[in-house]
Amino acid sequence: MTAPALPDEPTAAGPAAPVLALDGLSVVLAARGREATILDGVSLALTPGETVALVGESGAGKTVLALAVMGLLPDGMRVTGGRIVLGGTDLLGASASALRGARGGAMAMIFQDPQSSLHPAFRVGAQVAEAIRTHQAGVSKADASAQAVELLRRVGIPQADARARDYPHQMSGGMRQRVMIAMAIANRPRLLIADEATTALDVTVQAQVLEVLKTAQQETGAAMLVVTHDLGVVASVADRVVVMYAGRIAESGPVDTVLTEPAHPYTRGLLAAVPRLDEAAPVQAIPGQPPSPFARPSGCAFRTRCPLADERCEAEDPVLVAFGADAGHAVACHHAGGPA
Amino acid sequence: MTTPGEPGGAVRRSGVGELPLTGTASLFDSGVRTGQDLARDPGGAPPPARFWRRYARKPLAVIGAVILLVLVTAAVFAPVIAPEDPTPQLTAEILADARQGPSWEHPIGTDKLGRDQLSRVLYGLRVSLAVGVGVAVLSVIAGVAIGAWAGWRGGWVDGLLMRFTDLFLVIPALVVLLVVANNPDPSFFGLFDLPPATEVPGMIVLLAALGWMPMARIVRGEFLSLRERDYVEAARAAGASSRRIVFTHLLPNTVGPIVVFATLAVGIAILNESVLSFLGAGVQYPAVSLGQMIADAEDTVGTDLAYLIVYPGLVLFVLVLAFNLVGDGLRDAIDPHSRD
Amino acid sequence: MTGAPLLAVDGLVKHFPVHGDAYGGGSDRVVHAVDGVSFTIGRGETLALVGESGCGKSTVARLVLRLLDATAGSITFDGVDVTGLAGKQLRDVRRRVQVVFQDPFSSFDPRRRVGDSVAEPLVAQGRKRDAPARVPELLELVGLDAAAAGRFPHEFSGGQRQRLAIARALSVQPDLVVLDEPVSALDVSIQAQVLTLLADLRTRFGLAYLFISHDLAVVRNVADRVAVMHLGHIVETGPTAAVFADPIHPYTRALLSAVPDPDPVRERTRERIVLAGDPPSPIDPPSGCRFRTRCALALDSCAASEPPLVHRGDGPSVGHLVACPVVLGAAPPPSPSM
Repeated sequence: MTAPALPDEPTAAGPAAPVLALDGLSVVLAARGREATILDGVSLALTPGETVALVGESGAGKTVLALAVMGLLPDGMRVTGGRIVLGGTDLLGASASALRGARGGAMAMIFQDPQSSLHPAFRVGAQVAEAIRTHQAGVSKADASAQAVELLRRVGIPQADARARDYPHQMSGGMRQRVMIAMAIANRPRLLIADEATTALDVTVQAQVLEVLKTAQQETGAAMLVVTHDLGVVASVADRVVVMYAGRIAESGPVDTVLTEPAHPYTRGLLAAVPRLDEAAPVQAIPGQPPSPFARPSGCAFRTRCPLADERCEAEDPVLVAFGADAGHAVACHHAGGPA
Repeated sequence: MTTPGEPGGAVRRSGVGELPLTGTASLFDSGVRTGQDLARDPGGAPPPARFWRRYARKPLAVIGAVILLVLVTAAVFAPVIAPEDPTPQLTAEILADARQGPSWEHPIGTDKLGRDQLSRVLYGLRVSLAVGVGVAVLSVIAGVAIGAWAGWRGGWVDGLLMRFTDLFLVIPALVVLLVVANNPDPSFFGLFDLPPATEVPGMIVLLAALGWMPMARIVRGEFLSLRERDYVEAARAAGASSRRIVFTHLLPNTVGPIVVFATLAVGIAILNESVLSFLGAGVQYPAVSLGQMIADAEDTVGTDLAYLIVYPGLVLFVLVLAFNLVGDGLRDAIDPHSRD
Repeated sequence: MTGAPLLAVDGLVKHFPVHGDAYGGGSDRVVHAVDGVSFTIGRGETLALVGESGCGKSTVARLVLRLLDATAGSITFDGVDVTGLAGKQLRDVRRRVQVVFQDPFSSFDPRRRVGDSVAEPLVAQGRKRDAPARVPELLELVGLDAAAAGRFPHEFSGGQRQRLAIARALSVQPDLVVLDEPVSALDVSIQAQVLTLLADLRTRFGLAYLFISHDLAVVRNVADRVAVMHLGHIVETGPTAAVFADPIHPYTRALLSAVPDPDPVRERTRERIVLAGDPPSPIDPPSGCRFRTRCALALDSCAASEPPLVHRGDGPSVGHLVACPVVLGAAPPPSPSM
């Protein structure tokens, strides 16, 4: 396998050159002769060392976005427009082998279920070593094994040299997820994608794994895209947050701004729907359900559930535009910041 | 819950493919389908409505079904269609007709004794089908009863029944078949009052006794997994009786594997009977079977009389193939995991 | 709480054999899933059992539903010991105790119309004739269209199926509903809908809930009282407000501190207790206090004996019980045998 055809340093000058830039990304699902828009013109940029959280409910398109970046879209889905640029290289135009080289090399993904992401018949140390040797030509087997143990130690696996000889089934879910993180950072990726990486874990284990993830990102200086439905996780790890609804970005901006002064009715609804530890106030539900991608409402997709909706919302697609005083805060709503 | 103005039964019949696979009538069968949501439930079993549509999409399965229909019709109406008695008194007149090639009088010729080959093939087909279907029905009844009992009760009942099943599985079937089929005392030293295996009913009992075990194991496995499902637990928690749970939840959800096994069992039984007949241990005169005819004509290969082996052989082959095609089609149509 | 409780669970134990085979032989090791759990639920009250996976909370639910038979201990429902009931008597109790499970996708028989599934408890209770009138009522009660009865489960979303499961549970007018992680599989906005529905139905019909959950924030939202489970034991229990405002047991504190807060400012400043390592195995649990292997406060004496649940004090913390002598300042004297 050849090394990915990606320059080590971003070619554009300036420290803010994005690691990953999505520009108007659209993805379509074709099923039973019908087409549904899963992602509709999504633009997004991640700078080095930055953590961006992608939140939304099932079907919002957040996992599809992650898979599109990795070039792992499932059968039936295809990119119909836009660009995905990783460190200056257009991934949509890249050859299959270049993409394979980038996967696990320049970009790495951690999935929700470590059980099915690890090969059940190989020792975990060997699987981490394999990840290293796949992407780093000239590393000897012994060196790769030693590096693997070191990586397992860095993700907080006690007695890493002994545990490296464990098979996945001998480890707990939290330990397996650490192995996945070790594998993901093995080749010092510039982009880490964590797709609901802590969703299946118990809360005390989730706290540990989130710490490991944050540390791993700081050590590698990678940009991190965290896909989650848990606003607590967002507040815990992210610098910026992107709220998605029905395949589009509803609101994006710095975590502090979006989670404390949300301007989009959907973001507000989500926050009001989350039960809190410190108050017994009843949760506020958002009425209705997210629309099927096959039956998307005209105009704003959220209008069918929105307390502020009017004729304009039905007639006119809201565009994502800068909002308020905070830099980077953008909202796609005709009534952005309207009465809560 | 029926559509106004229409009796429920009429609505049920009017919907093509609406026949439920369950034996239990619904209290809420309106016949109205609304709001089909795509992509939402990849894991769910297909409702009956989709069954025939899915079956009809497989050309081979449809061809198999058509062939089967033709063959079954031919077998059922053999007494009407067949030009002559397949096992007539061997008068001088008949014997004089021996070894005739195809003619208007004998469309596929006569055998070495002057009997009409077409009539014999039709009656042979009748016997083969009777043996095949009979064995499949008996195996399914025995296998489902034992497997369901073992799977539902679990524990020592399961252990006992499965060891019993294993006992039958380790019997060298061919040896037993030959011994029993050749045994002049079909009561097996007075132990059983079995019909002799030289007649069709006896052959059915014998082959079923050696063929029900896979069904028992399949049903047991399905039951063991189904009984852990939440809907079964919910039914138990609601106070539903074991009988009700088995007949409304477990058996209907096992219909797929049962139907598939049954179609394959038919083909296997037909072949087994042919092999036995060929070895001289199958059904005997006056019954005619395809295997018997092939055995009678085994010395004709390479001679002008080869047609004596070709036609029964061809019918046997097509018959078994048709059952297998139908079985494959049913499996794909019933399997909840196959693509819609 | 006045009068006899609706449900009283006393000293409940459930051990599962490990790798038990069909011959009844094999290993004699057992999983200590539930080990001496006691609690009560009053009429109209919601008790939440909260804990991490493997703590035994779902096993307790199945024991209360009599889907499993207890190894030891008793379950008393409305004054009647149901532990050994069978036949008609058990069926009568089952009418009064219904269940909603976590997984909205395996809760319904895929081959049956949902109306039939919703009517199932009625039919099981010999009230099939009521079903055609009752099912549309129930569907509307949980916010669904009455016409939904003729449709199949795959035509519904997760949240709608959970509503259907609630309709099924309510069909026979139960007194107690066991809710086993009823909203864990749902998206936040849908979860809030179902929680709101459950709260409405509770006030409307005076239902008592046994609410099983791993989600502390959800529990805070729905429960009157809470019991925190750890490896088969209840380590702390009491009025929800008291336990959340002033958690005592080191495990409860760690659990609460591990929940990330959606408020970024508070999230950055909150106290965190990160537990080391993995939870111990329920097959061979630590002696004495089962939390001691991960507990920062553990003393030698914690290994000696299982700490009992002890009242914390009077006033606002009445009914607040904690199983940790170390924190309560009444650590037992060092065990001579150690």
